[in-house]
Amino acid sequence: MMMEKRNMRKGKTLLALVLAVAMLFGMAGCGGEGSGQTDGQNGAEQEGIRTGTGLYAVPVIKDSRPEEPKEVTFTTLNGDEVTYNQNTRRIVCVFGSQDVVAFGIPLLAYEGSTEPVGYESFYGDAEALMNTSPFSPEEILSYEPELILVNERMSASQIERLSKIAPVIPLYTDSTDFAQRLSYIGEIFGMQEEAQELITYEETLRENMVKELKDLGLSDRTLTIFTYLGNISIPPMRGWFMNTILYEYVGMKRTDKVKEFMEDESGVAYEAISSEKLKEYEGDLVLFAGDGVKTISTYVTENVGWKSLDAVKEDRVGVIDMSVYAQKGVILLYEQYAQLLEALKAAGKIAS
Amino acid sequence: MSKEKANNQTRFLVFITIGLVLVAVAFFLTMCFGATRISAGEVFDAFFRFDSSNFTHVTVRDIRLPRFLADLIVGASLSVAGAIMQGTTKNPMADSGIMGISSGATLGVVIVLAFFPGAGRFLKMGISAAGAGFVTLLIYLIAYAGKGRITPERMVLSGMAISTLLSSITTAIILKNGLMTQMVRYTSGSSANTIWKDLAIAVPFFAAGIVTSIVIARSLTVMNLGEDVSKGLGANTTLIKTLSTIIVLILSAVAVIIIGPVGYIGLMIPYISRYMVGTDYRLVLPTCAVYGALFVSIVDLAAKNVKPGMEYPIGLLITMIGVPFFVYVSRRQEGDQFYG
Amino acid sequence: MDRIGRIVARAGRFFLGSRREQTPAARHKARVMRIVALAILLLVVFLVGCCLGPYALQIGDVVKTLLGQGTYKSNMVIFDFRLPRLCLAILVGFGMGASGVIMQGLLHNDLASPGTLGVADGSSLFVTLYVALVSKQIDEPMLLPVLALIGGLISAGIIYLLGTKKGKPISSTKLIMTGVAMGACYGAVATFAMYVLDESQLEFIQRWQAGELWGTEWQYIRVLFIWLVVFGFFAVRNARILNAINLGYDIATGLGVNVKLAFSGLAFLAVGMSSASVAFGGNFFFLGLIGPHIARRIVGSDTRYLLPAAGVTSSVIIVAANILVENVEWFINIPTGIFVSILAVPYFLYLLMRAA
Repeated sequence: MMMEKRNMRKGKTLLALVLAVAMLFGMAGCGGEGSGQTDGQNGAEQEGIRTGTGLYAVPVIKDSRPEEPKEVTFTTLNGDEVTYNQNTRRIVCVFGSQDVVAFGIPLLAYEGSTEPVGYESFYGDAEALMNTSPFSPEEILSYEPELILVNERMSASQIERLSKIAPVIPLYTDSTDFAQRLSYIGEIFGMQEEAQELITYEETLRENMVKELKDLGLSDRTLTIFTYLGNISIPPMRGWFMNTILYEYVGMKRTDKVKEFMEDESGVAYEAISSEKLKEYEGDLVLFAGDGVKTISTYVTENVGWKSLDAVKEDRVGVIDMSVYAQKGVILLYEQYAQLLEALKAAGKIAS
Repeated sequence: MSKEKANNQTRFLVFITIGLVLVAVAFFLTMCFGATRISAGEVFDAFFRFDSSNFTHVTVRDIRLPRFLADLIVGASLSVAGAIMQGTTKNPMADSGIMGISSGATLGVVIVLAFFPGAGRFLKMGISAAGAGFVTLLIYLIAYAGKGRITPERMVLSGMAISTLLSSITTAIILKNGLMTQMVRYTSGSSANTIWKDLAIAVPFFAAGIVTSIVIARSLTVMNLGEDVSKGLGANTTLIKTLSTIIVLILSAVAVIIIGPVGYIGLMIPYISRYMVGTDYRLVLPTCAVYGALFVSIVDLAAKNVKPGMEYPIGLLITMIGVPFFVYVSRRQEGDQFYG
Repeated sequence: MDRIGRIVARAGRFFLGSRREQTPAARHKARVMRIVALAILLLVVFLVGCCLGPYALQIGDVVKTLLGQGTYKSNMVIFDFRLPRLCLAILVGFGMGASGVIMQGLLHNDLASPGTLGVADGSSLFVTLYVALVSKQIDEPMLLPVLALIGGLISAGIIYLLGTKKGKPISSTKLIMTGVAMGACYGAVATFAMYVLDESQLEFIQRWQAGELWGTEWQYIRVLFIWLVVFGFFAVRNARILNAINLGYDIATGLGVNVKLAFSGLAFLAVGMSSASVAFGGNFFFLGLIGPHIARRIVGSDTRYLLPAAGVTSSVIIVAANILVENVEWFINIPTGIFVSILAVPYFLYLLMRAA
């Protein structure tokens, strides 16, 4: 039971083993069935022990809403008044399911553009919507939902169309403010307490990461993340959550040149940086973000400009999988922070 | 007749000398100008007093030189392939981009990206070369199955149809797999990331293709007089046809694996070369090779210096030059200009 | 099995059998019968399209709903989700097919079409650039066909200017070659534009260029319908003139047709119909080419019959492709136009080789 609730990546047998031990401790600790909250905290400590840091997995929350229908009227972020059954279990989420499932709320279907590998336990029997862009109203109808959750950027006319199927509530999708996003969802379902618990979790994670980096002496250093999409470049500030975590939440520095490159949205995203100039973009710390993999492409390792970086010569490049940061959502945070911390440790190898 | 021939030979010698001198100039400029400016003295040092700890030397020898050579190889390959294709398919507008060969290669790259994301250099090169080869064969199949009765226009249309089909499939795979941003990069064509390893793979094929093409150049000229004439002169047309198909296939694939899909070079350079030295393939092919190499290296030099430090994909620049040329050629095309 | 074989053979004879009928009246009757048969085929495909979709509806329910006796949900499925798409597909098919017939007739070349002449590409580029660079949202449905028409006319003008020479007769192959070249040019411009777009705009453009039925709202369909009816009316009225031009420009002049005026008028109609289709339906490159081709094999080349027949044939193709895309799990999320291409290109290559 508890094992299912962990974030497990495929093939991580070692993690499974540790979790099995953790489960034994957990069972002994709270004597069988405890409240969702205690479960979470117990497991959390174990996770923290595993990585030797203050990072731990998201607390597991149970859907605390009663079964009987309860009609409520809610003002959405667009200012629309929407009346719906707050306790409904028939929900289709077209965007942002990574926050919603953290509340333990069951979904009928979720956006098909993301595969929740490693997070299956949060999704239960929910199905992936097949039509992703554009979505298909008929497919949504075929689930006979009582509530539809959508993207905040969806146009009013589209919302109107979907409203004929069921009440539609847009979620905050651009905001990187977890407190705003989570308390909004808490309000929608009358689960304010649970929202607070998740907000506290996110804050703790952030604080622990900052502390960890300070202890390692990395927090005041400049950092550059390189990636390879047909040519070596730096992922733009917007759209990649690792940038938000590192440069906004945790407060890592970057050189002016890197900052300018990342925030210049007038030109081309992932503009090719000449091999001859690559060195000028190097920070004290260097990470490489693989696209869907946690390795450095041979196209990069064989690049002469790349080989000229000090970090490469001294073999201290931290590697992350960029695709982990394509979405933001509270259930993803642990993996996102843990991967960054590990990579930063590798990158700061010779920091002393 | 023979006076004109002698005249063409003189012109050939003059033009090829000019071409080679210009390539040398382009070489010098490419070594000096780029993301950073490197003085002639340092370039000299990089070649003759190489110091591996000096990054300027490394830049010259391991970034600029391989890239320059890649441009030369691509330009020469595409031009020679274009000239041969134009002769053997009786289509003065044949070109690896127009005829859809590049779209075959692009499809290959997308298949690798979508289904073998961790694939290494060799697999990617292999599959995109296979894609290019497939389209080349298809085009020759259409050209030969039509027994030479297919007009140039119809050949261009079939090329367009093939590239529409293949790029449709490419789009489908991209949309299904969400590879949008990556694909825009891969389809634009650039030699910026060339390293010696790429050249080591490409050069043997390139050399084999060019040498064979020069060897069969005389037969190609004879064949252009018409198959009956060439049979009368004792030429083995089937052998020549097969060889030239293989040459086109190899040279197009070489270009595609180095630089990605780039069109119009194979149209422009042979056209200009014929204007310079006439229609004898023994003269046309070397001229194509030299001027093709020159053209690509100059465009790449420009692409690097538009905004120093950033890379502009030369594929797009070449298309912008190539399209007006294509329109010009198709306007000039009276049906009797080249091949009766 | 035998019976099916016999039925197929008979259907084949019915559609493709040689036109032995001697009297004009008999010929007329046979052609009308064939067009009616095509229309029935379209109706069948249309009904199949009505019955299939992620929300399960029985045929009985579909018929009931169509007759106005549906439940809230079945009404929504049919009238809000399935019918708009199907109607749009049919209209786009009609527009592209009829436009192809006119272009092929005007140029005496069966390889002419909105796609090969680069007109559709011009419309599509114009509209996508507008949507991507000027306005992110389309609020005014009337603006789209107008923009597409401007784009289509501009590119038709460019192609005409570049593809013809003063004092020389119009060469259709030259026009087509210029069209192909301009198509490549638009492609290059679009690729440049793609460099500055964000992911969602990029996807929109890619989908549009590949041909996606996106304007599935009744207001768009109404605009397209009226547009096509008006243009189609003039096209049918002028079918005889097109027939005359089809015999040759000189013969047409001899028959008292003002060729210059008729040519530009009919070209305008053709560009107008393809532009509106492109505006709401995206770029269906080969539809305007193979639709008329197949139709010509069925009803012959008399424009009066060919126009409706080509429209219906193109509609059948696009509706069938759309059903595949909507209902086969493996194909979901793939633009409809890609299937049209996959169907059409082999046929097109076959045509090129056969006609050589």
